[in-house]
Amino acid sequence: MSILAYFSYPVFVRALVACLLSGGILSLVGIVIVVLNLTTMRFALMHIALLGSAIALILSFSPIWGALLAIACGAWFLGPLSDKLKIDTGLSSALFMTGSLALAFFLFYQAGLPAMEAFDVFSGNILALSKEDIYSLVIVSAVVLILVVCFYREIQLVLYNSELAETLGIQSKLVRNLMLLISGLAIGVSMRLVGALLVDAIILLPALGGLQLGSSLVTAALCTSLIGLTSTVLGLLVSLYFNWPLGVTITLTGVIVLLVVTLAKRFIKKGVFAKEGLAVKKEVDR
Amino acid sequence: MTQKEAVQVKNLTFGYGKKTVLEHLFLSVNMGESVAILGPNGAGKTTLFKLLLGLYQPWQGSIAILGREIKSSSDRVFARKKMAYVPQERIIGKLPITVFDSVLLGRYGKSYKGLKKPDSRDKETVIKALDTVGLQDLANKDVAELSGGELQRMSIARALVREADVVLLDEPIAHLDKKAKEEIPELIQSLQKEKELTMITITHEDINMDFDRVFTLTEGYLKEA
Ligand SMILES: Nc1ncnc2c1ncn2[C@@H]1O[C@H](COP(=O)(O)OP(=O)(O)OP(=O)(O)O)[C@@H](O)[C@H]1O
Ligand SMILES: [Mg+2]
Repeated sequence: MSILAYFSYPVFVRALVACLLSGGILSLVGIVIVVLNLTTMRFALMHIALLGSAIALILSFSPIWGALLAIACGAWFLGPLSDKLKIDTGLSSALFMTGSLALAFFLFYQAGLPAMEAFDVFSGNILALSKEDIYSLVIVSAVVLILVVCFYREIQLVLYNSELAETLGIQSKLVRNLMLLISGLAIGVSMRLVGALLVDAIILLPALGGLQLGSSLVTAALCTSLIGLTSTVLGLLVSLYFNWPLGVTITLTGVIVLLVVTLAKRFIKKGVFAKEGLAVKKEVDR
Repeated sequence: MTQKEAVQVKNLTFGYGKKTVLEHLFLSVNMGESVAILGPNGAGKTTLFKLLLGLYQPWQGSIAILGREIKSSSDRVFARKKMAYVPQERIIGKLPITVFDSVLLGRYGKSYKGLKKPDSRDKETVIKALDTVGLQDLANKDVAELSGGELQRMSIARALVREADVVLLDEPIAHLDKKAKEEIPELIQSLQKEKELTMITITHEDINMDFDRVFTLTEGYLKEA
C-alpha cells in the first residue's frame, strides 16, 4: 500500500492530525519544563495521571478525562504547595509520585480490577485513538496556542527571571502555576499517542533542540515546533512505510533530529544570530 | 516641608517566619536625592528594597512612594511603575535572550503588555539606553555571553528605559573587577545628576560616589551616619 493510500482511512488521518498537533504545538510546553527545571515534576504528573485513570475506570467513565482531571489537580497542588511549605518541587514530586502509584494499586485491589487496564494510559497508541483522545488533544493544543500568543511577553519574562517579572508588575507565581498546569495537561494527552515511556520524544526532545537553535523565545519556539513536527510527521511516515512500531519510530526520529541539531549548532547558531541582528538593525533604521 | 518625599518609610517592621529582620525603621528620601545604605551581609538591605517594591507586605508601619501610601494592589502597580530596580543577583537563566530584548523587558507594564506590542518609541528608548551604558555593539549578543560588568551595565540600561522617578540599586559593584568597580559608579553618578533621579544605592563596600546622605543598617536598625 502506498503511503497516500493510508490516508483514505480515518484511523491514519486521525494519527496524522495527532502528529501535527502534538509535534507542532504541544512540544512548546517542553520549553517551560526545560527552562524551569521541571523534569521531576513531569514524571510525578504522569503517575498522578495513572491514579486518575484508575479512579475513572472504577467509576466507569473515560480514563483520559480521569487522567487529565487528576493531572490538573496534581499540578495545581504541586506548585503552590511547594511554595507554601518551602519544600522543593523535587521532593513534593517524589511524594506525589509514589503516593499516587500506591493509591492506584490499592484502589485496583479493593475494586478487584486488573491493574493492566489502567496502564493503558501509560502505553498509548496513535493508531488506537478514541474520539475523546482526539477531542482532548484538540482542546489542549488550542489552549496552549492561545495562551502562547496572548501571553507571550508575560511567559518570556517569568521564564527569564521570575523575580524581575514580579518587580515589573507580573504575578509570577500565578503565571508559573498556570504554565505548570498546561504542561501537565499537554503531557497527559501526549501520553495517549506514544505512551508514558516515550512521551519525552514529543515533549522534551524538540524543546532541547529549539533552545539550542533559537536566540530568543520566539525563535526557540519556532525551532521547537519545527523539530517537533519533523519528528512526529516524519516518524509517522517512516513507520508506515517500513511497517515499524509507531511510538518507537517517532522517538528514534526525534533522537536523530536532536543529535543533528546539536552537532550542527555551532555552525547554525551564528547564522541565526546574524539574521536576528539584521532584523534589529532594520528596526533601528526605520 | 515643601519638597515632596520620593520615598517615605515609617515605623516599618518586617521579618521572615518568626525572625524579625527590620525593626521600627524610618527613612525618608527627597525627590532628586541620592542616598546610600551601608550594612553587613544579612542586615536586611535587599529585604528593604523588596518591601519598597511591594514584593512583601510589612508586618507593621507604612511605606509611601511619591506621596502615595502603598496598601492595595493598585498602589503596588503604581509604585512599580515609578520605581526601577537593579537587582543584586545577576542570574542568567536558560532562556535564550539578546541584550536588546532583555533591556526591552524594562518597558513592560509601561507601554506594552499582553497583546500590546512594544512600539518604535520603546525600541528607540532601548537603543539610547544601550548607547548610554556603552553596550550598543553588544545589542544582539546573547545575555549568557556577557561579562559581569557588562551584565551590570545591562541591568542599569533596563532600569533607565523604565524612565522611573526612583531607582533602587542593590550592590551595583559587587563581584566586579577593579576597572568595572571604577567605571560603573561613574556611570551611575553621571546618570543620577543628569536626569535628577532619586536614587537609593545599597552597598557593603567602599564605592566611589558622592551621596547626599549615608545610612547604615545593622541588626534591623537604620541610622544616618
Ligand atoms: N526569602 C527569605 N526567606 C527567609 N529568610 C530570608 C529570605 N530572604 C532573606 N532572608 C534572611 O533575612 C536576612 C536579611 O536578608 P537580606 O537579603 O535582606 O540581607 P542583605 O542585607 O541584602 O545581605 P547581603 O549583603 O548579603 O545582600 C538574612 O538573615 C536572610 O537570611
Ligand atoms: Mg542583599
